[in-house]
Amino acid sequence: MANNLLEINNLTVTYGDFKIITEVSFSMKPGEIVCIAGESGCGKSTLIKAVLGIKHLGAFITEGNIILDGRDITHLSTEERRQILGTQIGYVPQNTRGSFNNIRTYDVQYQETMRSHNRKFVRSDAIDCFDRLNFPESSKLLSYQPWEMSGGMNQRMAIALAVLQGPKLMLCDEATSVLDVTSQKEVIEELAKLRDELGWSILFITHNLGVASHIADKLGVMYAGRMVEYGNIRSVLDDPIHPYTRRLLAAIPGKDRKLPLGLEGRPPLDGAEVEGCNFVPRCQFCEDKCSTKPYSLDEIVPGHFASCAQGRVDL
Amino acid sequence: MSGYAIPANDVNANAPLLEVRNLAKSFGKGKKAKPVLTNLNFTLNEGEVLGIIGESGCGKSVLLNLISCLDPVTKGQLLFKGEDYTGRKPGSVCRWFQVIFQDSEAAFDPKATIRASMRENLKLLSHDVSHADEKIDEMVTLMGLDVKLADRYPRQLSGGQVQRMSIARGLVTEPNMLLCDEITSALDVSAQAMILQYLYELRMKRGLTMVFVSHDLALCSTFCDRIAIMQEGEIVEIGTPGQIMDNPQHEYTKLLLDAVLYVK
Amino acid sequence: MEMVKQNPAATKIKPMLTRSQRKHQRLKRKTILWAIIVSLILVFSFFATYFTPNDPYETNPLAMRQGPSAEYPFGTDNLGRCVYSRILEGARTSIFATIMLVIISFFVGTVIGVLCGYYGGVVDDIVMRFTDILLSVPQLVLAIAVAGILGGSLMNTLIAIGITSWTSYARLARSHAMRIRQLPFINACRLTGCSDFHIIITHVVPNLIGPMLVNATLEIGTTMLSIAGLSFLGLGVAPPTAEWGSMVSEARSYLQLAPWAVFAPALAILLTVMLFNYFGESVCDLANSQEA
Repeated sequence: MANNLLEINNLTVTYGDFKIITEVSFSMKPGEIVCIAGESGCGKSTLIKAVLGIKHLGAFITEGNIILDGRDITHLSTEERRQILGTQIGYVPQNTRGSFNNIRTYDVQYQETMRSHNRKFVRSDAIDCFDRLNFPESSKLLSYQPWEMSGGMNQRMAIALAVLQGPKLMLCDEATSVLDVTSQKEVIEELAKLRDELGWSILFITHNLGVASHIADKLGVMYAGRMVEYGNIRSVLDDPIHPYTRRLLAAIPGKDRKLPLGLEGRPPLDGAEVEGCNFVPRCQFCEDKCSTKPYSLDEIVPGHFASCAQGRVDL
Repeated sequence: MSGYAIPANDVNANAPLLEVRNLAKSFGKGKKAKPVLTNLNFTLNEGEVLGIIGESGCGKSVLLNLISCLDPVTKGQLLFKGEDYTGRKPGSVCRWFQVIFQDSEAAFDPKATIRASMRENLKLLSHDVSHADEKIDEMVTLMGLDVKLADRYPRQLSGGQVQRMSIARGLVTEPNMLLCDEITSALDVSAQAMILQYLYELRMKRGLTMVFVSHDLALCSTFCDRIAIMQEGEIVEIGTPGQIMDNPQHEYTKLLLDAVLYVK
Repeated sequence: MEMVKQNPAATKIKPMLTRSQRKHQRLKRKTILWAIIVSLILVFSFFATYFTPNDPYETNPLAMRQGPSAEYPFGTDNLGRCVYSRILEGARTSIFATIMLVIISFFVGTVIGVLCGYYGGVVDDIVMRFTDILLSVPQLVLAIAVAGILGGSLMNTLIAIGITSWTSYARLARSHAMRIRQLPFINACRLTGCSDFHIIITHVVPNLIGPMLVNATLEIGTTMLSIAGLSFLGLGVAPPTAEWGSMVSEARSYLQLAPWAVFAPALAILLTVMLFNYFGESVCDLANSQEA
């Protein structure tokens, strides 16, 4: 599939002697928004960091590869990686308070970022960009300092900076989870708009399936270091196959105002290394074969993959 | 299991459990004073769960600190069963209220086991210490946890487990009311749902009154009897989940409601 | 969408974070080793006075400025006193005075710092401004001034240094107490009607004692140097009391004639300070690895 923008094949990441994620594979087409959802510690952030480069974090990609636009970027040097970051891959972190220097104006920080990517910074371009994104007071924004802004506005400034560099792929790591609900909605809508206008691809990491359902085209669900379900968003949400996805959906407070259904226990720490399904201890449908059948993500319905050994169980 | 008996020396049995009258709070003094809460009024009846919804910085956590006497009130009155307790020390109202904090791990002394923290609570309230362990075990079991977990240190448990432990700690002293400050917002959805289930069971079994502060309107609508919407230190709308969700009156409520992202 | 099927390698489940745990174990062993060495020195310095080969205060006009020999392992000084015996005798003065001073200023500083940090307010302001004043004068200069006024004796030396040394403990304890005071578990305790005293003793102090002890072990070397420095300047113990600093000071006038009388006590100071510093450093590393 040559027209894939990003391909992640059979990716395994280890930290020390310990596997954090194993055998994750998926691909993104240009203009697609893929959401990866899961609980904290399931390895979803590691996935994004693997694309951005994780050597400096002490973690290594031991198997599999990452292909961006036909080029293998799995083991790039720091210098080569810096050339693609920003220009081809944009990144919006969770905590934008920490990613901007709080006491310098956006103007200076925008200039600095653009310069480090060998781009020219034109102020009017930035203001045009703000206008396009419907920011209030677009002409004054650059002279503000981050501490004068709300968290939501700060996050949008980070997105605007990414837009200015014109990457093909955006990586958003829990980009909205520290925001208030109203700003969260604005940011989500902005990202969706950018995709429509600029043809961006967005890899969106979130623990909030509500957010995912509003912007994603494809949804992947991760559990303890493995992808347990992947497919078109409607297919996964309307007709979840893996028991974990079902429980995850049941745990979200819905419009019907029914008490959400919890899930006892916690994901195994060594989930990526377990033979067989790592959800067995918490699964209500598990059978003997579940803990012996090796992990694999199988296509159950066309375009809809799940790793449950039983294929599809009816509730 | 023992229930929560209403004390015999009740001032006024018909009065609401908690009444907040014209409550105001500002930080700083004189001209620099920054108002955080202005003119809050509401009542809470025995066995009722009140959800307080607002975005960050609207003063919802400050409100809980005022109710539990952790912070002094600037203006207004707080009444418990008709008795004015404004300006008391936190220790004197601890039989009525227990606060459950958002950061549950920080809510336990990191150098003590969870059981030691709970025992201390019981001892300070001069309960019968000889049955302390039974009481602790009872509450820990009530929150659906293994009693062995109580002998661990807070950092050895997962976020959801520590939060349930901190609810159990709040319960060992048998308060009339739990004040929950964003207790699920640092947790994963499944852990959050577990906590809600156990809190719901508590309500069913013991008729516990609760104030449930959160930023998640969808969450509160599943669980609360009434919901108050706060904006910049004021309650702009208060009503049952049905009224709030289906027929919002205030502009801000509509805005919040519109921003809730349900799973489609 | 391409899905690659592959059997997972049957990997053995290993405990997590083995690397940092191993590092922690290594640091722990190192700290224990240093603690043993340091406590041996302490015990030895206390009993050293019973192992002196000669009387440290006995002058011998026949054996003035003699080089090291079997009878006088480190030679003799200007008055014919055995340098080796005087170093052993001085160990108790130097090391014990240091430890006492560190313990007392640790205690005083921690109490003041915790109270200031926990309560805050006017008293805190006054005490902290007072420490600012003390810290604005160079410590040694202030100590020289105080020791000069009080006159030379071991007690006065300790007072002179102690006047400023508690401030660093107080500042550290205060900042920790202020941080801990705001943590939710302190509020949770207040809600159960804990008295302030109870909260400080059972919750605040145990949570700040670790970094305070690390600071104290690191201070031992510095304090020992200060005491030796004051004695060297002639403001410490009164002669003929054996003390390493004053021994160096006395012998330096005839350095060319009897270098051993200077170098032996100087080496003793160097070695002891170094050992205590290594101990402090290892405790510090251990504490850091525990936090991480």
